[in-house]
Amino acid sequence: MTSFTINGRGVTVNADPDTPLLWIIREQLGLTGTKYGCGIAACGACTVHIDGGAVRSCSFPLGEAEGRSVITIEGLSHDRSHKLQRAWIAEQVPQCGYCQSGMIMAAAALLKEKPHPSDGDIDAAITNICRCGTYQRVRKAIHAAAKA
Amino acid sequence: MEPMNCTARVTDAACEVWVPTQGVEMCQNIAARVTGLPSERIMIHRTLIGGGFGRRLLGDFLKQTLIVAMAVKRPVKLIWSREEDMTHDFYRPAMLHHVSGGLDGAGVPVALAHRVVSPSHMLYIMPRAMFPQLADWTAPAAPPENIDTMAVEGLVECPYAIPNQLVEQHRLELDVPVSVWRTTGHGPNNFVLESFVDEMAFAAKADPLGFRRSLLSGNPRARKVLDLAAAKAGWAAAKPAGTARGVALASAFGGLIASVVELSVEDSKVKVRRVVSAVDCGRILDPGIATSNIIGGVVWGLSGMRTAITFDRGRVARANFDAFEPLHLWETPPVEVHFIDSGEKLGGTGELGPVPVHAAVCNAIFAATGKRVRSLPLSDSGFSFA
Repeated sequence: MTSFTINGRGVTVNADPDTPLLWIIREQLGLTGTKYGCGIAACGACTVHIDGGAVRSCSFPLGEAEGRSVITIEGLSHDRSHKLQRAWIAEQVPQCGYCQSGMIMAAAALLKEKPHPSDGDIDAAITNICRCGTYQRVRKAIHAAAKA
Repeated sequence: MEPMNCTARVTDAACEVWVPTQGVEMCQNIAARVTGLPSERIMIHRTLIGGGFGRRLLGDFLKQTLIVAMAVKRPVKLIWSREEDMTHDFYRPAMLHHVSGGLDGAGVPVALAHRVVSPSHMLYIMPRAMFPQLADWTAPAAPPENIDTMAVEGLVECPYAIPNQLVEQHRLELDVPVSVWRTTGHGPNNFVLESFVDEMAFAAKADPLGFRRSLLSGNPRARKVLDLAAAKAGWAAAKPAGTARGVALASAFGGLIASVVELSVEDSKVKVRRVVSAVDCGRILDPGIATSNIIGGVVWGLSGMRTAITFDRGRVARANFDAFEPLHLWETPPVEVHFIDSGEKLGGTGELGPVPVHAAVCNAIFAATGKRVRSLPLSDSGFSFA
């Protein structure tokens, strides 16, 4: 049994502690905004926050979540009012959308650490893969959110 | 990014499927064939698609889900791992081109001949439309020998006024499953055609842009697109220090696109600094989506110059994004898109963006280094993206 909080709510999960946290989030907790993309922490589609930092949940074992605070895209704000969510809508960033919750979670962790990131900061922090090629608008939206 | 997946419930009376597909009718047909149920008993729910790019024109993963659901007599949800996805794909066919051309004494092209050797792009997609005798839509079906319009598209409709053109097609039979990979035959064919036109311009000691313009006097629509890309990219203006430019034009999917690439090369590392694309796809219905399509297409085109699927003893050797790396944010150059709202017949923007990218980049690499890239990925010629 592993206990942790997800989006502020305490949960206890009965699963093998080696299970990737991603599948606990999606299959056991029913929060499907976090996506599977590669399973090897290469693409970032599964990015969530653990104790405030960006983590690729496909490669994070459930057991290590014990006692910690997990935030998923569903918990970023209650009403889609996070400045990144607003910027994402204003800039119409997504195309297919599949990688976007991971992008937003990575960007949110960046802004927490660096409220006014440079292009170089964005280059270094946003290593997520987007096959639609939305990168240019991702960059623009992060700058817009930083100014908001 | 979304791996192949499908959810299905099959009973004796009905079949219900939830699937991210580009072909709802194809799925209904496959489900009817696999389950033996009449079409009206098949319900296909198309879910939002996490990227299609042609892969979801195939229904192999649906068929697999249905077979399992019928065997276990329970609803089944199938999600492929990335490794299953990447090693059971339908790949862009490897093509070999032999091209020759002739210039007269004044440097004007007088002949152009292509010999194209390629597997059939259409072996697996839309086979039923072409071959009604097929058992279902997942079986391969070869078109009649040496007739595959996709293998020669973009070559047979060459936009330039060059007399004496010949296009030969030879089909290669390989066991590797292949299909359309965003741009169908246009992408690889444009890489060859526009690289060769660049080589002809060099042989004619002409400016690559001016050489193309001179061959477009009978095609004012294409010339306008080329001129707009050149103007917006500042082709006539001085280049930033250490940079070189390349240009390519494509006529594809009912539209026209010209792209100018500005890049620098240091120690065989190619840093693409800027891409400017001009597009005439008739009337622009949604400028936001059209722009995103072209920008994303350019990123797709650049990615395709680096990535490759390789085989080792009959098995796909690159199974995940650590070995098959699309472009990342930090490698993506600024991309500008300019539209000509010509009011002409509507063309597609979904696949147009990547088409001229390969040639425009490689022509710029030639301008920067004097080295011709005649094969992709770039690593074949010792180059990589910075």
